[in-house]
Amino acid sequence: MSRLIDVRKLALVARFELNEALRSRLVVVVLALYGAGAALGTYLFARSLAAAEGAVRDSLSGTLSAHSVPDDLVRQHALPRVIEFFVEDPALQKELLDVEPLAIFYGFMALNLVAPLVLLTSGSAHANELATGTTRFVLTRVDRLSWALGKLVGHAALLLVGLLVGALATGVVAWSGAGIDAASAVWLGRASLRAWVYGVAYLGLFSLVALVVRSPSRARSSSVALLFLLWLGRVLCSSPLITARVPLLAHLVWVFPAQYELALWSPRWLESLGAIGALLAIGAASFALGYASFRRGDA
Amino acid sequence: MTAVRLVDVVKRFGRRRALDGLSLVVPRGATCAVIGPNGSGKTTLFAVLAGLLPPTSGSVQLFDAGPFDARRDAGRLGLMPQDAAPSAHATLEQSLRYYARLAGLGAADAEREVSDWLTRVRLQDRARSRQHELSHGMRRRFSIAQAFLGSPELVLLDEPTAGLDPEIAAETRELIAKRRGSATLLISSHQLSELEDLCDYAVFIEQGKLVRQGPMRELLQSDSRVRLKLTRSPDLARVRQRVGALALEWDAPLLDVRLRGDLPIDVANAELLRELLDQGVGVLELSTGQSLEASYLAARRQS
Repeated sequence: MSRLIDVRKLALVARFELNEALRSRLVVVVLALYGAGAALGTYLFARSLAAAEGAVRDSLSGTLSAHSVPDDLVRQHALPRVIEFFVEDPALQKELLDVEPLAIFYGFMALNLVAPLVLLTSGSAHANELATGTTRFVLTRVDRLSWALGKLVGHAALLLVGLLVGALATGVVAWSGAGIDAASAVWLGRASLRAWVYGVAYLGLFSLVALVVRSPSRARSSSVALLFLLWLGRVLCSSPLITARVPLLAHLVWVFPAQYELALWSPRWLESLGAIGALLAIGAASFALGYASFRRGDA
Repeated sequence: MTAVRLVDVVKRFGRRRALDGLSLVVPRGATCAVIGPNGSGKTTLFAVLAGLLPPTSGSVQLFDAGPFDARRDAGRLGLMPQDAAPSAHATLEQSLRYYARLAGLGAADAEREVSDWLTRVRLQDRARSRQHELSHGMRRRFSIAQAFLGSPELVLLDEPTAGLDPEIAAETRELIAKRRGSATLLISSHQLSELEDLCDYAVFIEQGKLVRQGPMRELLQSDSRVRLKLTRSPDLARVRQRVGALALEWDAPLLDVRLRGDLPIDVANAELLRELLDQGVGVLELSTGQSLEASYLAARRQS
C-alpha cells in the first residue's frame, strides 16, 4: 500500500481538504442547515412520539387506571406506530423495537439526506481544483493517487463531521426535552456511522463523476443526473414486471446503494456489516474508475 | 549533465499537435529562455515537463532519470503556471505552507520558507488574504513564491512578468536573476529583451517544433558581430581589409560588421575603431552581437 500511496502526503492532502471545506461559507451554511433540520425534526418527532404515547395511554386507561399505566407499556404500544412510518418491512419493524426511538428518527433522517448532503458539500471537490488550475501547484509535489484519495478521505471526514453535527443537534434537543440517556447517545453515534458508510458510497460515485468531467458545473449537474438514474435504475431492477422478462436485472439491483438502506437499519451486526461492506465496495470501485480516467489524463 | 532532455516528443489535443516531434536539451544549471509565438507549444512543453500532460509519444527525461515522477521528484521541480488560482478559501500563508509540506519540508522549515518567500515577493502584509482578495499582480507574485518554495533544482516559469506593472516586473526579474545558478530555470516570455538579460541559453519553438537552441552568446553572435553608430559613411573596402571582416552592411547611420571567428572580439574592435578614426569617422555608439529579437526572427525566417 505504501508503495502505491504516499501515506504522509495523503494525510496532508486530507487534512488540508477538510480545513478548506470547513472554511467554505457554503459548507458551513449547509452543515448549519442540516444541524438545524435535525434539531427541528427531533423536536417534531418527540412531539409525535408523545402524542402517540398519549393516545395509547388514553386507550389503555379504559382497562387500567390512567395513573397506573407504566411508561414501558405505553412505549411498547406506541413505538410500533411510529416505526411503521419509517420502515415498511414487518420483520425489520420488529427488530427496530429494540432501538432507541431517537436513533431511529435520526438514522432515518440521515440516510435520506446524506446523498444530497454529500452532493452539496463535496460533489465537485476534485473538479474544482482541476478547473481552477490549483492542481498545477499541487501535482508537482504529490502523486495523483495520493492527491485524489487524500481529497476523498478529507471529504469523508467532512461528512462524518456533518453527520455528528446532526447527531449532536438531535441529542441537545432531546436532552433539553425529556432528557437523553447513555444508550440513546450510543445509538445516535451508531446511526451517524451507518449513515456515514452510506454517504461514502455516494462520495465515491460523485468523485467518479468529478474526475471524469473535471468541470465543477458539469460535475454537479451530472451528479444530480446520476442520483436520478440511480433511483430510476433501482426502481426498474426491482420491478417484478421487468425482472420477469429480464431476470438478470434482478441481480443488478445490488449495485445501487439504496438497496442496502434497510439492511443498514438492522440492529443485527452480521446483516448490517454485509451492507457496510457492499456500500464501501461501491464507493471504492467508483473512485477507482474515476481515478483510472484521471491517472493518465491531462491535469 | 542535462536537466531536461526531450526526444521527438509529440503531444496531441484531438487532431492538433501542440508539440510536434520536439527534441531539445537544456544543460543543468542553465537559465534557459523558451521563445516562440502564441500557440507555439511553450505552455504545453512546461506542462509535459511537470508531468501534468502525458506526452502522446516520445521521450522526456528530467535529471537524466526519466519523465517527471511526483513520488521521486517532489520538491525538485517548481512550476509557475500561466493561469492557476490558489486554493479558494485558504489564506496565502496556509496554501504556501501546504505546498511546502507536500514538497517534503518539515513543519519548521516550511514555516521559515513561507515567511521568507512572502517577504521576497512583497506579500507579507497579504499573508492572511484569500485568493479572491488579490489583484492579478499579487496572484502572479504568489505563483512565483510557490514555484521557488523549497529550492527546487528545476523551475519552470511561464511568462512570469505578464500583466505586471513595470516596477513589479523589474522586481520579479531581479528576483529571478538572484536564483540564477542555484537552479536550472526555464523561462518563457514574449519580452525578448528581458530574456536576453536573464538567460544564458535559449530554445526557439515554432508550431511545436524546435527551430534553434544553444548558448545565448552563440545565438546573439556576441563574439562575431559588431554594430556601430557613425557620424558619416566610412570607406567600407578599407574597413574590410583592416579587420578582415566577412561582411559589412552600411545602413546610415549604422554599420553592421560580421567578423571572422579566429579574431578575438576585443582585438577586432580595437582595429575597427582605429580604422574609423584614421578615416575621420566619428563613432557615436558600439555594441556587440545582435539582439535576441533579431536572432529569433532570423531563425524563424530560416525555418
